[in-house]
Amino acid sequence: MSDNKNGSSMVYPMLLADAVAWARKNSLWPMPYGTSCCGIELMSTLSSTYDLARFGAEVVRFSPRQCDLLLVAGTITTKMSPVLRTIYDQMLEPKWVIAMGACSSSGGIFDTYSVLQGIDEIMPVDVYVPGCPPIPEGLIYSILYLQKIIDGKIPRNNIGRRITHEEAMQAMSFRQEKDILD
Amino acid sequence: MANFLSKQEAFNEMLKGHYALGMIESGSEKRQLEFDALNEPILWSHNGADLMTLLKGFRGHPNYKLDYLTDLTAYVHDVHHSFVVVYQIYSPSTHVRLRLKLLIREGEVVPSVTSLFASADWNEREVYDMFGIVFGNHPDLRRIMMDERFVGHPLRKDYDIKQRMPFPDNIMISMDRCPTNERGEFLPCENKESNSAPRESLFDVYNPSVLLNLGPSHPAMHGTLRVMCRINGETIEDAKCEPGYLHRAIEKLGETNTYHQWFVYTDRLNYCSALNNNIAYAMAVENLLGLTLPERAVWIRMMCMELSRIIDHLICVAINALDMGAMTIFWHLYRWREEAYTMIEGMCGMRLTTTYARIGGLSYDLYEGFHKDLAHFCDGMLRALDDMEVMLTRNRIWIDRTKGVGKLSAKQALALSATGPVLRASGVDIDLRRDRPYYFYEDVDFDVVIASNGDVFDRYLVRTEEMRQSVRLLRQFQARIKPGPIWVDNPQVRIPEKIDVYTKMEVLIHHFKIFMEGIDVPPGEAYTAVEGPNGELGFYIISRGGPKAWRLRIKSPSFMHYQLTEKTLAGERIPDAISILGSVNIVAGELDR
Repeated sequence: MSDNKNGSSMVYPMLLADAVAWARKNSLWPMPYGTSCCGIELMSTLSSTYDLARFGAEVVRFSPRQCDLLLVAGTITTKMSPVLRTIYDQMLEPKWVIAMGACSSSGGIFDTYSVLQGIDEIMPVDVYVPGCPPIPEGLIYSILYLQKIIDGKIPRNNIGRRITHEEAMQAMSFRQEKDILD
Repeated sequence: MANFLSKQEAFNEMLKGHYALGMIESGSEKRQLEFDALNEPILWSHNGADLMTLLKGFRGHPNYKLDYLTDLTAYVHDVHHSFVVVYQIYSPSTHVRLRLKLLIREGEVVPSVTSLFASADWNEREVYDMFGIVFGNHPDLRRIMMDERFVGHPLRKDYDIKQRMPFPDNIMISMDRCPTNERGEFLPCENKESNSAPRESLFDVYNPSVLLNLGPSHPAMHGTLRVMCRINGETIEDAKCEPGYLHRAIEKLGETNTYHQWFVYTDRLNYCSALNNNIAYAMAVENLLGLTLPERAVWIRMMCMELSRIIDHLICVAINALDMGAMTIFWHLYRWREEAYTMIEGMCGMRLTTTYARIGGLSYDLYEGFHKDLAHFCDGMLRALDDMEVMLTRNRIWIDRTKGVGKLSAKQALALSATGPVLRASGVDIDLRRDRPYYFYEDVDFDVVIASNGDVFDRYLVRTEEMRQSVRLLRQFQARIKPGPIWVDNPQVRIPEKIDVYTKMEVLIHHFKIFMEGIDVPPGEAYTAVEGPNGELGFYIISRGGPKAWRLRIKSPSFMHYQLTEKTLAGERIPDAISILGSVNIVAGELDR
């Protein structure tokens, strides 16, 4: 951007990539994947009091092909995980993932036979939001943080680490203590 | 209260006259009668045929028509060897409860009661899924919570709680009956979409049976619901619902965590009204312990229950309208939900997952200025409801979309074990707050709201009026609440004050013991039900002593309502299916547990 702020300079020299990133970060289209409690807080964030539209991310689309941000809000069970993985695969590049809440980040308090221990076992995640559920301010902060990642101000940590389908299957299976030691 | 207690007492006396007291041993030929911690009768039948005779007998009993199946579940009696199947039945006319039990050995086939109670269908499937108990003559005995390919039965005591199993793809739903082997046992269904509609014919536009899959990720499906419909044009000819996409093993966690630790899981059952679940669960454990709360704690708890009823109904009505395109209602009503959240945050520090109640008391007293906030909320809520009625109740589009849609007669509703607003919208006059009162509900004035048609419009009206009644109740509570203690005076369960924990050695040890070891609950069992926002929410706890429950069963209204939706969806249009699903208010956390 020009340092000259008197209005005389009307040309903003900018790389095309920067311009695209600027456009992308301010028009994120989230796909809300709200399965449980976090879905209700996601609704709070989208609704009148917190109003996610202030950050350009209010155009909620339920079709993965129209979205660039997958917002996983809630517990993902092993029964649900193939569905979530399919949805992730259907989204077009570039795409980002936010794991909202403890369950989607790590399984949370549900360390049980039917719950996937964090969606990062089956897909790369850009931002984790702690909380059970996170308060709307927390979710808004994560969107702002993601905007910095898109902008290039913060490096994206999962580049080059695409989880394959086989790895995803492996992650879901039960390992005995001795298997891990071997 | 005297009314329902005397009826239950008379019923118990009648049973005592017929059956001997004591617990049945396997192989015994006599029926045995027991009473639980709440003095509710438990009748042991000696075999499957006897159970059917008993159920038929009580169903058609001239004085007590026990023809409503509240719950059907099971528990492990003796690790590896035997199970007990539990049938919880209720009389809608006299409000008495009876629990029938059947002791079986592993591998024994139990007769299915679906011919007597239509609502037993999914419950029996759940028992089969979780315990591996086979029900003979069941119409469609498949797994319900877990995937078809899952191996093992998770609620058995020998199943490791962390034993996960991966699945490569989503489960297929078969629209047909499952095959059986030569011994009459049901085999797992093959993975095929339908037997009668070959794959290629699905692309034929004139094919009268096209399959349409809604969910589990679908804009109009709440949370994780999935419905597979066979449609002819716009009309649904046949529907299969698939729950279990949010099965988080909360019941199994109840067996591995102490009573205190399990509080956090109650929040995540019906997350739209977490306060109500906390209190219902606390009440269930207190009933087992035989505690009586001080007055102020009871008033605060009742306040919380009514407040959560309002916010639950708010979200149900708002989302139902949102699904049909009425966005304004959602934005307008959500503001009042946020007001309630702010109050709840002041009470316990959390907006959604509250964990407010404790066994024998409450975590905090009301904050300063609560009554002012509540008065403001009550006034604003009534105004918001008026606004909503202006926008919806006489709105031509709303009426056209909801009137006569998803009709459910009173008879159907009772047969399918509907509860709460859905049952009352069909014209059945049952409300546990009035019929089996708990806390001080018999001392306050409120009207039980009933409608007559049982369609989506009537459910909306019932919910709206119930919110007004809840506001009326909140104002009465506010007038009657007095300062006082919020904990029972019992050092065994009372959590010490933090200031004492930090300054006194004995209190510190006591605090450590309560949290590290847990409260010792005496052996026994109790079924405690409250009238939750969605209907009858019950906790059936079996204790064998010690700080952990032997079996912790949650009777959730959503489970029955989802089953009811499956059975009544045939004949409706696709857009109507969305409004019906919204109107019965299925909360996935409570449905799948």
